[in-house]
Amino acid sequence: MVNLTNLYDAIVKGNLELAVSTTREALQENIDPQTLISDYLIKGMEEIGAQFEAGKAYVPNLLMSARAMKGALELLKPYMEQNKEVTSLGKVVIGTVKGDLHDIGKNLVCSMLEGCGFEVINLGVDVSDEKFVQAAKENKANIVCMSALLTTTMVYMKEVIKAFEKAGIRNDVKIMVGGAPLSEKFAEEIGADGYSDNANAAVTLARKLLNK
Amino acid sequence: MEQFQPNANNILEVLYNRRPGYLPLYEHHIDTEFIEKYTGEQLAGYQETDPEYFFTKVTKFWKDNTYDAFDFEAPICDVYPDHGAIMGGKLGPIQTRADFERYPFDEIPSRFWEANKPKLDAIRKVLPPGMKAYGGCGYGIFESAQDLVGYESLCILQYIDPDLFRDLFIRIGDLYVELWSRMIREYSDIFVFFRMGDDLGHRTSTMLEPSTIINHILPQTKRVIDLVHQGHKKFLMHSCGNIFEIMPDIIALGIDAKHSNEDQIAPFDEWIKRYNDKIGLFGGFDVNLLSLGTYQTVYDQVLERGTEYRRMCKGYGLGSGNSIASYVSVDGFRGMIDAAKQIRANEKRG
Repeated sequence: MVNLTNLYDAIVKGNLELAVSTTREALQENIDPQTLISDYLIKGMEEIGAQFEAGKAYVPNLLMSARAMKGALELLKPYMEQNKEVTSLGKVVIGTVKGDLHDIGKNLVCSMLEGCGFEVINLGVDVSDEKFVQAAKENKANIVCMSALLTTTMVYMKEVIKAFEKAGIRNDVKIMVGGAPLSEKFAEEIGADGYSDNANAAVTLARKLLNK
Repeated sequence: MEQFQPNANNILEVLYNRRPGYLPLYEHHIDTEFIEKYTGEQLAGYQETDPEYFFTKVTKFWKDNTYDAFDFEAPICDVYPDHGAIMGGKLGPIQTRADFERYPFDEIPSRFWEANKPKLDAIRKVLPPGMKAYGGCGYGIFESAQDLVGYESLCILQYIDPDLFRDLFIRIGDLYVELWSRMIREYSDIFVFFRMGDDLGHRTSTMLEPSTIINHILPQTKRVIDLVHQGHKKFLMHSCGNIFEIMPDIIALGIDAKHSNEDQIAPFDEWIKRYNDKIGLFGGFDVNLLSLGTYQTVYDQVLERGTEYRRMCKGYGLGSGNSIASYVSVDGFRGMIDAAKQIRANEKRG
């Protein structure tokens, strides 16, 4: 009989091989995919996230855990498509704003969100307000995440929020912002729904905004 | 009004962790675009086409703003074939052992000197009396690894191929020793001290696990520091981010001074409190202040806090916590420079 604690441990330790083999075994034993996701995969990501917040884990640990989680989720995908109840936590459109080409932080957020069960549409860097709006509409996004590394480009986030208002879909999405020069205060000033200062906090915030 | 005469030996005092005769100014870098914005003169492109003209203009700008020395780094990563992963948006050219084995590391030194010798020779010709450069070979050990592999891949690589991860850093270290040895041998006369910039932290902690940095990156950095010291020069470490956890290990490498601070990580006072007795310190003023503050706001804050930093520190050079990027406002920069001049004037008056 499969030891599901291994699945949790595999995520916390970032062990892709163990995560995949345990998930495969669990599916062969007809264990409910939703149980695997909710009780082991997400719990494992929560644990590594908590360790990161406490300064006991580092970005590479987060990335390894997200990689292991993605590996397990790949196996669960067919079941998720069959069973509507086993779906992603939500759809996220993410990008670095226009004029800014930095993407390391933004990509970490992508990896963590995907690893934690969100569906992520990564628009890349130098993303205009139109592109954010269009992608959010096309994908019926629940969340829009914007990143900026420069003091000069972070102000463009306000333009993007205005574009969502103008398009009449501001209330359909939650808008999150992040990046080195930003602060909670700045996020409030531009009318964002939330700010996070690291990839793990971004996942926590996304789940909070969607009540997941 | 008395014209400022640069004196590189004045800023050098900071590296000895001694109080310089007057408050020196320091920047990690001032973007060419910013100098263009400030002076109204076009400089872009001249570094390659007419380096003597370019460095005449650049050193004049630094001198006019009362700096004892100016920054020049010959960028190593720029000559890596297929470079650019450090800026994000692409993977580096080395993802596997086979990539590593066939990467043309041996070609790098000739490419590096071909690109940078004309600039270094031009600096030697045009340095204003009393002024020197600081810097040397640009980009740090970790930054090179990021450029060759990509940050996220590098994070994963240490777990999925630890031997390759180890060998990569050793190979980068070997390359750095080769480049730095020649830099020190041939250009020590134009540098007042040498510096390596290697951003090892982000806002909340280090970019890699501290043990990884200590075991793989810092030993290679140490090889460069030892070369610099053997060449009878001092060594400044520039490293952004929250690196408090590894600062004892960085200091143990033998660095003489440290630069870079961000208010969102820790106030500059914290750096003074922790390290003032061990090494010289540069910086103090967050780039956000210089970018967003008015002339008066910047002037007032720099005058007040800069006076205090000068009082608290043994070796201290005033400047931004990072660089004067193109987007820093001219007013903010002027506010900082004028406040530094005022601190000097106040001290002179006693």
